[in-house]
Amino acid sequence: MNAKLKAGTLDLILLAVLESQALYGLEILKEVNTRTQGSFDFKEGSLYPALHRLVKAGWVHSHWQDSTVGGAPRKYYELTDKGAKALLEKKAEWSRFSSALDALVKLGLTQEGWIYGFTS
Amino acid sequence: MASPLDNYIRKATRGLPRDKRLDTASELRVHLNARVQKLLLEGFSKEEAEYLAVEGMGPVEPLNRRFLGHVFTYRTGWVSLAALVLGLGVLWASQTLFVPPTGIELVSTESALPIREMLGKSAAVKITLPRNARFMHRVKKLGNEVKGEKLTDLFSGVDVTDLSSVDFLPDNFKVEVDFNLTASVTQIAKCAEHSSPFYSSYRGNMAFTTYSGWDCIPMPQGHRPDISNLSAFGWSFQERRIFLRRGLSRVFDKVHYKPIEMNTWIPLFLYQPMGMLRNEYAANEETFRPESPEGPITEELNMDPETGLDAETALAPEGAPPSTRSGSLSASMFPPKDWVVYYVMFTEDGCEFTPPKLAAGTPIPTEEEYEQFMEASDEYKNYEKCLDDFPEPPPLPTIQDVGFSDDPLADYSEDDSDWGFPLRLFERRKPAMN
Repeated sequence: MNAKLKAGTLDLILLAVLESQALYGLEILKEVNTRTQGSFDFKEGSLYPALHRLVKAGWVHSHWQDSTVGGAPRKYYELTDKGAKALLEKKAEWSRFSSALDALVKLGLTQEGWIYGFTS
Repeated sequence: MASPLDNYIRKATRGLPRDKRLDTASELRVHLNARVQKLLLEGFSKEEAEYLAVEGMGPVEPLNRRFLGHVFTYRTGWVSLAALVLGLGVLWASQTLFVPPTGIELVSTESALPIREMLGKSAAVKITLPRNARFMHRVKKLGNEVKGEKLTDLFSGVDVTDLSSVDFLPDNFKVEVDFNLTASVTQIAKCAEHSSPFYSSYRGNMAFTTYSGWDCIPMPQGHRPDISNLSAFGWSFQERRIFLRRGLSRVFDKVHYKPIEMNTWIPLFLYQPMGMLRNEYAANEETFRPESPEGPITEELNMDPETGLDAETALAPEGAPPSTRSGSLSASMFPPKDWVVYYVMFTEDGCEFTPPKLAAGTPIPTEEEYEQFMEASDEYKNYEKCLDDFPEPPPLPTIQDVGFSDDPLADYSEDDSDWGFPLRLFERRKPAMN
């Protein structure tokens, strides 16, 4: 996927992944990979500045928690109320955007097909 | 040797505040360790696992930038910042270090200005001015028994000179004035073609004298006989802006370079004319023949043999060139054991007026004619008003308060060819060094 498009939607992706449960870094990556079927193959390091930015914005809360499977404690991230509202807004915004884009792209495809058919 | 993980974490968290750095480093280490464990289980060696774990994180510098929230992880960013800081540092240093101190230094006559060659033998002082000095006022005071504090107030004339502005220059640029004293005999011999008379406006016991560049034609002070022009000394000055190099050589000279107080009379020279001029002319009472580029000028000197003052005359020699035909000389003769003190004062404000030049060959106006001519001028009226508003100058300090050295700095009693008369020059007494 185009890097700029990914960057523009990263907040939405992270908020959406954290919507149902608190997760730590690697789990977030796994969840994103699973839910997007590997389309979001962003570098792992870039996850953390993005999460820190969401914390700074007050959309996400972080806390250290002992690992359930042993090993070092992990830093979990969970959505705040403010983050939940932001997620709703971003979802609506994405819905409008994707609908508009769908309409545009589909119309373009139709026209392209018609012109192609006519000229052939 | 640090592991790839440590290197990565260090670079990623560089520049963050301590708490945030430790928190972020812990989080990254947990992440990397988990990745390494997974890779080890997949059969990679520890070294390979650490390498791959770090690779999977992506480039570290963009990450660090995103953590920091600014651009200074870019090398160009730091280089630009360093260049800016360095530039500002150099600018600051160039403006504040090695500032030439203000001060007054009496210069040996033989090492005086290049202009000396034109004017003849002279004495000079180098005055490094305070930044806010815009006007230089000069007073010559003449009297007997100066060192006994019986200096009579025979002459208090103030010439005002507008100095160059240094407003737009850094602090360590200062104006330095080479103030040159010469004998009038030489000055008159080199008189410019278009000259203008002195003109004095009296305020209290001061005669404010207009400045006209080359003061070739002094006006007699007929209605104030107690205030006399003293044209046995001429003067000239050159000014220039000085900077670091000169400043460096003076920073440690605490004798000559110390703060010059504004609005305060500062004694510059103490002269002791030896009286031989008077004697010489008293003996001759004939002709005085200074050399000029156009040829000799004949001047007759008539002086009061009792006081030795206000000798004046003008005699245009037949067939003399126009530039010298209007020549006039008002010379003050010095009775033996007289002293002359030369003071300067610097102020921010001053009154300026340049009298109109007289065309070559113009007969010298009488004092009354000249006054009428001047008073018709708006510029002159403004000048008079300015003088009315100008604060009264402070009294001249006594010579004993200042203190001059007992030994003359220069002694011209043996060599009077350029000065026209022998004299001795004394320097201000140097302060005791603690």
